[in-house]
Amino acid sequence: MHGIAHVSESTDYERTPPLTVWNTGKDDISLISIQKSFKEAPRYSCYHKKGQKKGYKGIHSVPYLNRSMASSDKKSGPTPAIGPGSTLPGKPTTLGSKLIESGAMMLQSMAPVRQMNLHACTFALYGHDLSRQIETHHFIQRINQDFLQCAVFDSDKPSARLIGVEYIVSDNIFETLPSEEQKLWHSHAYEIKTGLWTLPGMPELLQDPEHKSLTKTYGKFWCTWQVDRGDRLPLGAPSLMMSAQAVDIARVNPELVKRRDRKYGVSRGDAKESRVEMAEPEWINPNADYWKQHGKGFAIDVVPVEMKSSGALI
Amino acid sequence: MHGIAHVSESTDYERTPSLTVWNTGKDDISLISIQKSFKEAPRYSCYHKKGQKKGYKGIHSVLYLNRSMASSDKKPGPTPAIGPGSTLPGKPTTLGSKLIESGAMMLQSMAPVRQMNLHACTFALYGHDLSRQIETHHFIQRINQDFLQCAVYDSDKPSARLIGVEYIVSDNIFETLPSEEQKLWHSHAYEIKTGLWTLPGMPELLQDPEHKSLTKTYGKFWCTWQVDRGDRLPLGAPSLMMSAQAVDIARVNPELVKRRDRKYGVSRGDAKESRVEMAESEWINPNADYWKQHGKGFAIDVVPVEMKSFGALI
Repeated sequence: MHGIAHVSESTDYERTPPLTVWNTGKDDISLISIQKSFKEAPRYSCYHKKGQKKGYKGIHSVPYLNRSMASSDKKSGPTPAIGPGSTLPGKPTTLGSKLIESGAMMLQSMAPVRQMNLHACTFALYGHDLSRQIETHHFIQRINQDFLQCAVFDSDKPSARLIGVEYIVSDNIFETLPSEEQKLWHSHAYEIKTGLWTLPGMPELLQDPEHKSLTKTYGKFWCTWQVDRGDRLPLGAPSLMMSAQAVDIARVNPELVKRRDRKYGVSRGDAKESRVEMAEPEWINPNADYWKQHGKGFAIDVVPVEMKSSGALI
Repeated sequence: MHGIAHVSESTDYERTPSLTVWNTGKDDISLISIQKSFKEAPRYSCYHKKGQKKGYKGIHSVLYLNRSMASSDKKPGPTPAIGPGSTLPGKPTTLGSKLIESGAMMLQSMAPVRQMNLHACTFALYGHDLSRQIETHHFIQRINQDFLQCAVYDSDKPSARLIGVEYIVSDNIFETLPSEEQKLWHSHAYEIKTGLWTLPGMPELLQDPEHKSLTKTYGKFWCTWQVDRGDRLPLGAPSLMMSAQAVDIARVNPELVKRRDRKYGVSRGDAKESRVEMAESEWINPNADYWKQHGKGFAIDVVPVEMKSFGALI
């Protein structure tokens, strides 16, 4: 059964659509409402005010997310871009292309990528759904004592997929950021102290000094390929990722950790013990890990906008 | 002078705010309106229907863009994150950190980043403002004959900043993508045929076969650090980038090209001549380079959304 919702303006909602249709028979209400005012990109939304005194019962509040473009969990529909297994579509590399790479190896300098000389393995959580968690492989370049940039992959094999970029800054640098910007960042203390973050191949003792420095850092991680939801190609908008925290909804699934530990012959428990003496940050800026204090995550929306004759958006 | 706009629902607008305030005295109306229903993240919007028959004259339609978080051109305000020159803030790397990197070089395998063995230099345009153009350095890994992944930097020096990720797919793969997804991609034929794209250090003849294959590809490029607007740190949401096209507003500023050519001892004009015989794609999917046919660009919005008790969006 479909019905037209009464649409009312309210300051408690993230969005107010002009037209909402919902299916009262289903639990998954959020999929049904269609925002008709976006000609190019139909959006889905509906309202929920469960438990609130306002009395709009039975509707869930979600953002205007274009299903195939936003950093939501919804798959974009059955196409070869999503399929069973994680095999990337495409034909094997030809000899011609391989030859060009050989030529490039001799004639080109790859200086920037050669600066990435630290590999860390950790876990990241989707900012709009902390229950979605991935093992990540950060290939890190330290620019200076306060800033690192990382190319993030889904494994450490030659076949690894490049799934995003993370920037890491010291607490000193973080404090200089505008507070609106700080909300996009996450803290690292918990994941390092509890042994989630590890430098594969390096003895714990050698890792120690780096961890002491990283414990006080903050990171900003944009994930551009949602491999965990089965995307065989990078689809949709980037997702803002968060870090594990000492809160139930943000603890990493122990199975994920076990699997990683087995792979690298490490023990998260042992790492945690050996890092127990490590100084914690005296204070973590409450703008970071924004969801913790505010119960709100961030989703990314891609919105079509008119362009000026100069090519800029109006 | 400020006034409250009459808010009316309309299918011609991208968004319908619940409260709009605008300054009728200024040209730059878009900065004044404040959306009060987002407690956490004030947004700016107003309406324009210049020339439309509906009669809402004098107001511009823009997104609800949180000024500091969206991929707009507005700098987030005067902080040490933006300053004269492009010097990254931070102290020099300590000896301790350098030692860890030496350890890592001996004990860790950097397999994924070692697969990036092709360097291309080209130009990219901001999808929300084609007049903003940057020289980019793509460090490319060919995964198979139909798919490449690139870490994108702002130079080819060791000090280069990692500014984003680009994925490149063949026309075959592109045709399998949902059309909503295709709109986020751009075509490469023009930039390759006109010599904007080059493989530094490699003779034109050697580059030839790679270009033949790349001419028919499409790319999706998320820029995570807007260095061209003076950001000394990566701020805000990712920007969706576009490619140069044979349309006035999307031609690369010749000064930018000259500077690049001088740096690498190449000539865009010569490259263009030598590629003139290269087969062009018979057809470029009109969903790509979306702005060309539809006069709309894409802006990225970061939206706070309620979280469920177990971590997913309500």
